[in-house]
Amino acid sequence: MANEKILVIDDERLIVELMEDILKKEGYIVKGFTDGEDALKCVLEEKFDLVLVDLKMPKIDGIEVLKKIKEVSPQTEVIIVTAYATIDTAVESIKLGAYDYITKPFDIDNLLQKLKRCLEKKSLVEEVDTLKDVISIYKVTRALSSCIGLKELFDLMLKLLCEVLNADSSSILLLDENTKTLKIEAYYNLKLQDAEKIRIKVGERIAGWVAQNGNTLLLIDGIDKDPRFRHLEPRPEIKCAMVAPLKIEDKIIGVLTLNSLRDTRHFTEREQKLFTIFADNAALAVRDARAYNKLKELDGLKSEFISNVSHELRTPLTAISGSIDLILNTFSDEISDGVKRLLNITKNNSDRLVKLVNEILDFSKIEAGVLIISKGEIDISFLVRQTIEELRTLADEKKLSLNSEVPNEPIYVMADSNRIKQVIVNLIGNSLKFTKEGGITVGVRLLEKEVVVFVKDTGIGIPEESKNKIFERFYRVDCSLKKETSGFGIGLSLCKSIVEAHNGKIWFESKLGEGSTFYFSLPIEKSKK
Amino acid sequence: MAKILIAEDEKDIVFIIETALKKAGFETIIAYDGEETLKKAINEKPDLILLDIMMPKMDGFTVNTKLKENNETKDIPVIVCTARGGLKDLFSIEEKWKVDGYLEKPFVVKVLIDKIREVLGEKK
Repeated sequence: MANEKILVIDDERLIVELMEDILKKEGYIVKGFTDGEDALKCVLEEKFDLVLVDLKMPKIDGIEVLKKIKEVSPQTEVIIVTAYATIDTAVESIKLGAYDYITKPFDIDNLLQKLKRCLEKKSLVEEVDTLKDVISIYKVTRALSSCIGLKELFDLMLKLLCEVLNADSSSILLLDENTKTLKIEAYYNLKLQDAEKIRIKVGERIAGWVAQNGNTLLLIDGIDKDPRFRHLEPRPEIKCAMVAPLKIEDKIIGVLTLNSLRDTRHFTEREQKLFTIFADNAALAVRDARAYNKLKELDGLKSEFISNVSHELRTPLTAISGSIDLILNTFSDEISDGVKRLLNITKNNSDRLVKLVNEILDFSKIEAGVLIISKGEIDISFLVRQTIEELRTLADEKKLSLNSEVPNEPIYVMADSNRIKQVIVNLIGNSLKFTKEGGITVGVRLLEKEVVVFVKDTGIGIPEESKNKIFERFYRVDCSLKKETSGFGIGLSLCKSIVEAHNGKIWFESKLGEGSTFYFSLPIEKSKK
Repeated sequence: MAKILIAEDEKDIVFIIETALKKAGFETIIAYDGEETLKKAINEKPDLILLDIMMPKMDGFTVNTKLKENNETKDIPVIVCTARGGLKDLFSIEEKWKVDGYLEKPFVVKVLIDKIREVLGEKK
């Protein structure tokens, strides 16, 4: 039997003693009173799970006691004991919140059973309440994690906190590690002058105490009552308060405060527990938001950096390729065939460098979310056929066949022709890269609502363990040390971004050693003419 | 003979473009920064401006805007030629930056010449 606390009130001392005896034997913690008023004083100081109260008593009767108890401690269950049970008094007491009533003289087994059932119901109700609280905290945490900016996060956090715990005002202070001071970051419903200038040293005042000791404080009857903080926080308007540390892995990063301006006993131990859980979640949200901000900042820097790098790389490349271009096209009669051949090698490799630089730039644009797709009506059949022809020499060089299964009739889609061509070139390029013998087949199929383009090869295929990573940026099937092919590992990730920017899909089928087929689809937007 | 203003701060690239244009039969003027470009556009009245974007003193965006604001220069066709990739859409969408051509560096010399001829043909 759990040690629930029961209060027995009866003006007959004998009955009180008898009940105390019986209940103690059952394992309950029991207190008995013969005077209703004394009993009520006790209820103000201690929490009881259940009160057994006699209906007819001098000074104050059972109904009055019931009313008072429900006022100060609504969670405490009350059972009325009466020798003069009438339907009226029974109904009245139950209306006022009593769990049940028992008639005197009572049967002990009957009494114990009623007690047991009542306490069981009470613990069930508490469980449900806890679940409800957990759900509300979960909701709050969800809301917090969807928050992006720190300031926005704090404001929302404080508002939700007041709502969930039915409080009036709240604030959040963050710890500056260097100066060991707390600074107010945000507050809700508080009238603070020069809030941003307020600094509280660790160890000073209430917030400083919590930052030093790391425990949640529950301050009832006004914040000045606790001897530790007497005269430290002269704010009589705060009737009841809770202060919790914001901790990440035992490291305190700040303090969260919550106040009630209405009621000296507004918060109980239950709220204190919930508040602590809330503070733990809030600390994690603060950490995430800080990390996110840092990441975003780095991301911006990275995009800018890549953009600059590509510019810096392109400038000398322009001079190189421009010079070669001029020599080969304008001064070609001034140079020998041998030199011409060497210059052609230089040209091919500078073209290759340009392609790589462009790839990085495109990638950084996608990363920064500034890849612009300018759609127009294009004939995808024509585009695929054209691309196949442009790449035919590359296939010939590797002695691979390049077959077309593209229908002769035009298929119109709304798309960015350059970008879609980039995808086709990339896919065929990959097939050429990974196929040693056999060939590549490129085709277009018109379905009801979309058009599917495929590139099928007889290459090495994709190993099982790589299949779910293949569209990830920087991923390369071969590890860089035993590198057999060139590239940055961003081609497919780029293709995916481009296709998805067209509301299409990209996927593949592959068997190791037999080959791969890559597909991408583009929706056909029916013109509403 | 059409007169082309080459606005470009990289001397090597200037030399390449200049050589190619002269071979193709154009007259050339050179400006090595944004301010010089504006000055020469007004004083020398070129038939076309080949405009780089990242230049000292004044960037190509500003140069282009100022050219379009000035009655004396607003009708001179401009071909943007930049190593700062991905600006094509910007130059075609933004009203104040509208240009007659756009080339990304590195460019193929023949393509550059063809583009210049195309733009000049359109304007005349």
